Amino acid sequence: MKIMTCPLNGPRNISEFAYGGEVKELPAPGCDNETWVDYVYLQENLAGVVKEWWYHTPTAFWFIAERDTRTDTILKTYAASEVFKERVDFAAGDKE
Amino acid sequence: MADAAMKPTDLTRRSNLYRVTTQLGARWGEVNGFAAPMNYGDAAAETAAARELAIADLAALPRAGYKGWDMAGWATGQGIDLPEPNRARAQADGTLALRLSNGELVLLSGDDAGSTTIDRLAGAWTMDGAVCFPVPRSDTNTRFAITGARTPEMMAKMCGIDLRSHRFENHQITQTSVARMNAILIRNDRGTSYALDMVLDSASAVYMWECLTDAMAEFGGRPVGLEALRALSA
Repeated sequence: MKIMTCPLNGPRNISEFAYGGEVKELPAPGCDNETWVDYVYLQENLAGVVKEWWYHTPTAFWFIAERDTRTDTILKTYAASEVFKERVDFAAGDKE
Repeated sequence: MADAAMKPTDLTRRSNLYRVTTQLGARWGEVNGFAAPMNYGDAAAETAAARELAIADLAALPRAGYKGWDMAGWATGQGIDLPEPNRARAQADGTLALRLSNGELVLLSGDDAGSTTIDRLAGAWTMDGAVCFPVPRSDTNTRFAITGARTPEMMAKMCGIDLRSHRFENHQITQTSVARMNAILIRNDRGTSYALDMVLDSASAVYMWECLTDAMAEFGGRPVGLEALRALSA
């Protein structure tokens, strides 16, 4: 079976993981609806090295993997806290 | 001690497995308000089996969990001697502290059900200024012990992790898939005997018990009561 290395748990069978979509930059608060639709629903689907969210099901642990979609090779994995270091707060006035 | 007259239905708290263990001839004793299988009629044979390969239902033993961004700060402040993630550490009263990740802690009582830490933390936690929150573990989860030298060989049939003694140290934790179900495995030797504790979804206790006893059959494994586990540690 294919093996993926979880940053918390180490190498595990790929059957223990679930795919969570591409890692994207959060649109600025107050952006237009089209930008939100793009962010929520549309995927780049690149042929090349992509950053993706992956989930280790037994521990409920989300992390980031860099994968080459042309060869389906996992290049590296790391904790999301290495990228997302600050809490994002939305002001109440941003709601429409 | 087992009480020959006791039935599991005498008490309001009982394991999800009580119908199965009743069929297997369990003799019951009161532990933490539960009717717990103390033995299955032959304490000496059970202790011997526990050194080779055996399974015990530890649903009755107290357990609790806490999770949150500063669980470590809070738990350390409460006097918990915290290990690094995916490791366990025994506390002074025999409670085993499991650190599942940076921000998640599970507490498991020793086989004597004598944990004072679990009650103390339950009393200490308050909503005001909370940096972590309690995770219910006593009802939604249940706990088995799988003991004996042949445990790693048997577990290899249903789990992808190498649990052999020289690869999986005492008090090491693995959170993984066992018989296609998520489970937490903790190496928690009893005396000099290899032992694993398994924490899993309580609603699937009967399924997992059947998978484990079926996998054990070819190695001569059998169910044992709490008394056999206590005898190993004595």
